Amino acid sequence: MDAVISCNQLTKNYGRKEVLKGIDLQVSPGTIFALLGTNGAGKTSLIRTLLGLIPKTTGEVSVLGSEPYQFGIQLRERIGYVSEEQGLYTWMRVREIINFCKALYPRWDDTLTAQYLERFKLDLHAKIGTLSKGQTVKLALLLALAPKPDLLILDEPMTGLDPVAQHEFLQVILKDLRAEKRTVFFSTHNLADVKLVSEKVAILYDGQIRALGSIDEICQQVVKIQVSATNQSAWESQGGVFTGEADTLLFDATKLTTLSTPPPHQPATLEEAFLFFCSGGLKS
Amino acid sequence: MKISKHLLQKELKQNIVIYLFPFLCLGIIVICNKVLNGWLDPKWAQILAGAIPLSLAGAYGLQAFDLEENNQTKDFLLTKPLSISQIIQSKYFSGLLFLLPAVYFWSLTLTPKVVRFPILSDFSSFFFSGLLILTWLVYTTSFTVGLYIKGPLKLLGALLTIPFVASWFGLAWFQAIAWLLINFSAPPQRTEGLLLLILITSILIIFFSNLAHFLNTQRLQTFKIQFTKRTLVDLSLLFILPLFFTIINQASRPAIRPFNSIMTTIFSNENWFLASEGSKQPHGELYLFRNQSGQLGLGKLSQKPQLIYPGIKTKNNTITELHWAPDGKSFTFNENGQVKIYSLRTKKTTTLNNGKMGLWADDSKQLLLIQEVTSQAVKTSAGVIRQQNLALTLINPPYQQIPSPKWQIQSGSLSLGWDALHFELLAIDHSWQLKLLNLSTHQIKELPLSQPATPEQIILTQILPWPQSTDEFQLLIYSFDQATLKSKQHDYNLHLYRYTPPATIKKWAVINDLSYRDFILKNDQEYLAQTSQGIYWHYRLPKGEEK
Repeated sequence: MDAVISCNQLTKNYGRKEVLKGIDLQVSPGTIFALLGTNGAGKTSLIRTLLGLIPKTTGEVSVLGSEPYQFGIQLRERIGYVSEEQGLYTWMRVREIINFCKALYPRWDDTLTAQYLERFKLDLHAKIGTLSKGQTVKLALLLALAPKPDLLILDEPMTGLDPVAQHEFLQVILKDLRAEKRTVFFSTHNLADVKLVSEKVAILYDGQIRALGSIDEICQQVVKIQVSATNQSAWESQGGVFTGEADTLLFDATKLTTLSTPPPHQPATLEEAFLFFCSGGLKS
Repeated sequence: MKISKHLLQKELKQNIVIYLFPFLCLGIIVICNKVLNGWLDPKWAQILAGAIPLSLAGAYGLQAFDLEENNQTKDFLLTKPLSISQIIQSKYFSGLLFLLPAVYFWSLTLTPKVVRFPILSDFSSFFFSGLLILTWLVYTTSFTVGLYIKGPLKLLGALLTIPFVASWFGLAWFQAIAWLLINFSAPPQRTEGLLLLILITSILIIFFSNLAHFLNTQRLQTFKIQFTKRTLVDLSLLFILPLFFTIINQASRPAIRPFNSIMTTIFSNENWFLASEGSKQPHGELYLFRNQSGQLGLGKLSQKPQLIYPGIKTKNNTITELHWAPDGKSFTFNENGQVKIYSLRTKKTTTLNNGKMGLWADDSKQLLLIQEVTSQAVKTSAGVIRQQNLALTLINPPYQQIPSPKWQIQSGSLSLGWDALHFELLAIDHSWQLKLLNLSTHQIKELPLSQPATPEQIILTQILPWPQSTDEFQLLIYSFDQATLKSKQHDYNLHLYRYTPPATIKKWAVINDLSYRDFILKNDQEYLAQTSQGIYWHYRLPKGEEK
């Protein structure tokens, strides 16, 4: 089956600044795909490129089979998007924005709308400007889900949400979207979310995909070793990354196997792998 | 071009406060003006009625995308199943939907007189349509600037671009309308008029194709336009064409023009002096004009006539029968049935008496006052003519009283002249004859004027002193061929004769198929010909016409 999202050596420059440096990525249909990265790694630029909000610089990018910057109305109908800032019209009432969006989507599901309104406890007559952060995110999610999109793109949607709201949000993704086999592409730096819902993860650092695969596959790429304080600089020069714990170092698992006498090691957790890839590990 | 109804509704709701703001301001001004009993000077009202809509146009255009940018709703909108052109169109047209009525209501409330359909013969009637066009241009320009430039640069860009573009296009339109007015009704300028039409059409096509191009293009992403060669070529054309109009308009100027400067046109209360009939000063460069409002103006060639006599009544004032004294220092005219003398030196008017006209003797002092005693319509072979019983009175300076002698004559004359040297009254009537009434002997002499081969109906005659001559007269007969009347409703023939007293008449020239409204003799070769009110062109006798 064709990939829903496909990037091949995708680059994006803002003037002289390179923000995406040759991204290769495939997202299969029905996958919940998490894009992990630190602030400034290029997550938002990648998502904006995938949405056709900004043009790519070089390389190839295809979303639902089309170049995003050339998206027509029909393709936009198949993509739902929730951003960190939501960007809803604060002067509108909940009912107004629902009606506004409903008029634009032929596949709009009224039953689903009613369900989510009930579930999220959203007041139809409330002005969006008066809603709490959590409620605004839920409303944005409702607006993205009600048209039954084939692809849902979420850009750090849970930033600033309290744990209860985060839980509720994840439940929707976990249960409803997974059950309907919809493709979800979301960016985050919250690893707990990723572990809970994602089937596939990409770690983006400095405009490059440092690791790609399932959580297990990514964790297997990094090992945790104990080294003595005297050898620390030697390990660091070979690409090792200190975790902050005494004498504990993260190291490239493949590289470790090439050593004649590999030290005792343990598989890394996702947090540790994330730290490894986002601290300059595996630079080559 | 398909505008989403929901999007348009959203735009209107989103911007309702700023859209209603000008109406609110207008309401406050009207109430203040009423409470403070005419606090707003009419001049300021006119300035406000023009300046506020133009400022609004700039502001509306520039801020069209600001609310989306500032509230970070841009991405929400752009990721919805809407084309970029739909988004831009809805923003563009929602602004226009409020802006144009705002212009209308501001003008209607503050300067109701200017709100009217443009009439080709009246330049000032173009003010409102010009304002509408200029507002639209400023709005479109600022809207485009708003697309191109972001952030603090926007204000700077707007400050530099909008006044420049507005004045540039304003100038273009001013020049275009002036051209249209001048050329449309001027037979010798038909080719240029056609050229003008082609140019205006090209401007409109270029402008609208650009508009359609930028509203529909798929290259417009995230509210930014990509410059292409085509855009640059079109923009260059748009900027070069006004220059073309300006140059061509300056190069091809009429003899007498009704126009003020642009600034005077927009911001002054000065009334237009649209000359409708004129007469040249003997031995001088001045031209005396009357207008339809019963005012007198003096002007030199290529100038707008300056008002010298405002008339005694503001409404329905009638001034006719302009007759220069041979020395060119004063003239007589008839104002509402009274014969008056205007002196250029004192700039004062002296009322002589009730009468029809005052004809000067060659000493520029003695006058022959002609009064109509009775008048009746009489049916003759030439049609219905007006038979007049005229009283003639010689008046000497200082014109305070009417001395004797008086004469009474029966005349069906269309025009009169006075040959003071031979003491004869000259008259031309419908019968193609010059009648000479000797005021001493009371004898009437009839001299035939050579007629065209096919009979022609006389519609108007003039007896004027021959240019640069004190004892000869020019006789002008305007006539039309009855057989071709239907096919040439507006055209007539002009027969010119030279009368040398006491009895020599030579046919001097015939000009066929004229459509001018007034003919002023400049010299014996050149004329000023009026094509529409206020606009006179130089006119030389066509070759072969002179005899």
